[in-house]
Amino acid sequence: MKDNKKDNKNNLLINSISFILFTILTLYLTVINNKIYLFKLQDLSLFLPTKMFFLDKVSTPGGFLSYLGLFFTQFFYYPWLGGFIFIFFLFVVQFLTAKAFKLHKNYYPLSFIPSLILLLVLSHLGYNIYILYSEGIVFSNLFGIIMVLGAFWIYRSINKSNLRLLFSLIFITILFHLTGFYSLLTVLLFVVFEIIAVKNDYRNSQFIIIILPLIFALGIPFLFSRFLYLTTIFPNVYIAALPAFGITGDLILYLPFVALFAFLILVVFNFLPTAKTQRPNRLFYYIPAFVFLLVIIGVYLFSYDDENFRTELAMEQAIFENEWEEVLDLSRELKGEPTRLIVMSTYLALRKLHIAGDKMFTYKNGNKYFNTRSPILQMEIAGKMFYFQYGKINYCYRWCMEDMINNGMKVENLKYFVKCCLLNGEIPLAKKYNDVLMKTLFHKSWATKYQQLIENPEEIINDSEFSEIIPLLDPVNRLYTDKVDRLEDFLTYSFAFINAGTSQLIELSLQYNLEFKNSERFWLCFAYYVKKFSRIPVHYQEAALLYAYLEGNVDLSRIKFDSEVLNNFTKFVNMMKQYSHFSKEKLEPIFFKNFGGTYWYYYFFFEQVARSR
Amino acid sequence: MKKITIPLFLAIILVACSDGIPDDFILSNESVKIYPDYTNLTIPFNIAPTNFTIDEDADGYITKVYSAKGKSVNVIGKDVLIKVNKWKELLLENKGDTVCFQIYLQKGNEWTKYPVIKNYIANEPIDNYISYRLIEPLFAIYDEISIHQRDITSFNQKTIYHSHLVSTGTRGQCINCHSFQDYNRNGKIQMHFRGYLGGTLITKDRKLEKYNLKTDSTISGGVYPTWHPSLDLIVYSVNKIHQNFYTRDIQKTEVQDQKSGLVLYNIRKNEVRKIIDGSYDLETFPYWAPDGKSLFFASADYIPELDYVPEDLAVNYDKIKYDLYKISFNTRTLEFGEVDTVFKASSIGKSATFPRLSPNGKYLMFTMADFGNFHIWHKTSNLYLIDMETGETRGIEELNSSETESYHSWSSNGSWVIFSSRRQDGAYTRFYISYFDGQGNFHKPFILPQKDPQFYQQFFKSFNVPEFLIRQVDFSPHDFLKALKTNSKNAVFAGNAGY
Repeated sequence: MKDNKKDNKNNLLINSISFILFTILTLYLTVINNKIYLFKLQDLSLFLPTKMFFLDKVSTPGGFLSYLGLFFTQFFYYPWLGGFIFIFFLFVVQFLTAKAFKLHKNYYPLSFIPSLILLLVLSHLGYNIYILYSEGIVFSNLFGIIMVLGAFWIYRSINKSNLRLLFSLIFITILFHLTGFYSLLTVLLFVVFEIIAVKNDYRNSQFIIIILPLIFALGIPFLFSRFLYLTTIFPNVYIAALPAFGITGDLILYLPFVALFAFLILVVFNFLPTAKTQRPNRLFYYIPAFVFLLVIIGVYLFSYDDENFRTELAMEQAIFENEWEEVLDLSRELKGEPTRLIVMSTYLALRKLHIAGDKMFTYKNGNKYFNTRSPILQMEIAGKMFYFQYGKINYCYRWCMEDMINNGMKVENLKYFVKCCLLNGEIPLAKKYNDVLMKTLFHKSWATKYQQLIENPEEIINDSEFSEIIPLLDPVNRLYTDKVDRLEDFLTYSFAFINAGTSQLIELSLQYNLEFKNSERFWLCFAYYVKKFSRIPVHYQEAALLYAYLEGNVDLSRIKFDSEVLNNFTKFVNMMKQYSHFSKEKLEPIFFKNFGGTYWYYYFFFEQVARSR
Repeated sequence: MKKITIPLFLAIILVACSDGIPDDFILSNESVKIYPDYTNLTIPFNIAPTNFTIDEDADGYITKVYSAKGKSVNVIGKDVLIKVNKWKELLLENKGDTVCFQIYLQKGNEWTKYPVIKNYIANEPIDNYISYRLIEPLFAIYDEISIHQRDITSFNQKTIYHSHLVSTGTRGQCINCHSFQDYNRNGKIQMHFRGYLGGTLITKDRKLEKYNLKTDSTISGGVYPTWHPSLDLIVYSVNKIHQNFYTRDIQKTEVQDQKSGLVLYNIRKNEVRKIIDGSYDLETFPYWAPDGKSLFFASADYIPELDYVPEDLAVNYDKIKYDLYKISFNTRTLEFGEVDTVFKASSIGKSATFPRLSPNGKYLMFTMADFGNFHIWHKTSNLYLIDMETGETRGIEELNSSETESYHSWSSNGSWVIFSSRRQDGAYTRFYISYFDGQGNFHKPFILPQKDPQFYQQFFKSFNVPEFLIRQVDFSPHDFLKALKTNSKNAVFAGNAGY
């Protein structure tokens, strides 16, 4: 009696701790630490409440799960809402795990394991969200598992073996098309359950209940594939509804799924007669708790968390909303070395605020590669955004289309389509794309705003965002092919070598030539700038002084330099002479301390090496 | 919509109503807007229902579909969806007459009757099937591409082949260049596949066989095909294709040939012979005359000004102009004769492609734009017609729009044409059908009917390369897949074919 009380107390303590730990981790990896990530997930997907959309999705095996997945993904528009929906379904999975496998109360912590692994499915994707080839992945797999657990609970509750057989055969026949692999997994669990039953109760009829569902599980997908499906490769039909990580090239992303399926199969062995513990020993309490703890630590550690990734996501969102100061704040807050995308976003914000000439070299520069196992390109992450912001409208449109061909329709691409078409004067096409957004649950207000421009295209030039882009449109129509792995190079090349255009374009060219360290092109742009504007930004002055000093034959007597810049330059030259015997590595920290925010420092000490990744 | 308020004209008429048609209504003389525009058409008696949506806000919608003979059909709702069987009966009974649509709209408690929409039912049938490709208006990446056949007497669409049957993502497959012999009368199809498991599938002895038509003496495998109407011969263009993107022009992309020529492929002998292969003449888009005694094609005189051809194509893209030619063919010796100029588009600063002779040989329809050959991306691209007896050439204003018109095909009886156009939104290609009266006149074109009238607004793929078919394709997608997985038979180069 006393032992029982103590057992119950122990149970309550362990179960409460596991519940609390699980809740904290799910909250942390969703609505606390990954708000922008969740928002991005919905931006990279699309759900439409139309018949055509439904039929399109459910026409492929497992497509119904994708449909459900896309439906719930849209709620990440409000990360807290989508996040809580996601957490709610994780608790449903936990509840069903406990019920379906009839877990002893001492095994309670184990009931969280499928939910934790599904949480990892959400949190470990990182940069792969841009190239998933899988729609509604976060929720679709969650619902797949809910179906597996629910069906297994029903199955094992059926007492008569004949009825169980009938249930499994009907189940696979009806649900294979809707849920793909998950229906096969369910039948596998049925079979494992029956194998255990055979050990317990040996009869010939038991073999039929094992063999027949297996034949159906192998045969139904084959028959469907041979006679119904025209869009699914044959062996792949067996893994329909699972994410297509094979295409992204990062197979490690499958590991959580393998662990999850292995767990489900292993836990069926709970139904072995030998698994029923008569007198629990101490280990009986602590092993499940220990396993739970290991899994929870594993999920935390394997969840993707990268400062640059988070900053890029936040910058992308800020850029889309034209919150340029926010982009600069994010750049300033960055602790480590930035990726090229962060540097490019910072420069973009400075240009939009018209302060790049004074500030662009005062921000942190860097070349850090994306923190990914398999390569991902700048173009795949932010190509369309930069092309749009820099007035390369056709290229933005093109890469949205290329992305749509590979990854399906996305809210983000539709918005760029609308904006590109408006800037190109393709009003009926803008309407076509905007009409799709009008049908969404959360992007109607965005679409309504642009509907005004569709109906009044003469207002386009007065739009604050478009009015910044219109002067950057290529003044000359040319035929050119950019390359998927050369985003930054293409932008640099196309702006650094322009020969004519608006003053905004010439200034942009000047800035790109500063980055490019091309003095010849710099002088051309600088001469134009000096004629056109009375004030010369600091970095242009710095570059002019430096190039004149290096080239020796440039007359700058008519240029009005700031006395501070002139004084600094004198100091810089003197310091260069003073430390001329030092190696570049030794010089770098000294000059960074004194001239870290100048063009001179950039010119001598910064080299871009990772321009596409 | 304004209602007429003059009492005489707006008399409220009491109508005995036993079929859902309102008893009381106001007459309006303003046309009601419908989408798609299925008004004042000439339609074949065997076409699928021209379902449409009434583009007006109202509380109630009733449409009465009727003709002189047969049972009328009443449709309630904004979307006018007509049952296929009833529609077929109605049209069949009223060949040569008109089919009428009487629309009533209810606003509040008041019904309004609008002017009748009338469409003429032609006596000439249209071929039962068409084949086409569905694809995003793609640029460089290809992933999901499919070829379909549609029974245009109903809404049934079947997949001939889908690229996802064999590959996705990086192992993508491009398919398009499909061609039939004589409207598929004898069940002969050929289809070219690029990328994964690439090759050309050709029907031989009622089976699909896979061939590699690239030889050491030709610049590529077969690209744009045309199957001889009665012999087992296919003429292909061979092309070295190059794609560039405009920095500013909303036409967005330019697909060009760096090199091209024409070859004759003899299926029985598995041999390839060159027809024309000039160093800088770019021949392409071959098409057999219906009698099989001559071959039409487009060709541009192209001499690069710059040493590097891709650079020259990028700089001088608008100077490349294609003219139309014809070359005679001896069906006994299988030799080609002399080349004749059919239409010198370059002389008027234009560029012509896709020559298609009508089945009776009297009219040649073609596509013409300002430059280049890939006119689906050219906004100036329009359809033209040459009267082969008088030589008179005219732009087909009845069919053209301010947007692109491009690929086109004649029905087997020459009474109908189907053509692709981007007139709806400038980007997504749709099919339009028009009646041809045999005297050089086309009737108002109409978009290929779909079951859901709003289909085209919600559909984000382009319809490409429409071809009429008399019968369905015999092979299933799995037959194509099976053939694709076999090893290609390499074609043999056998010199020149006469010219």
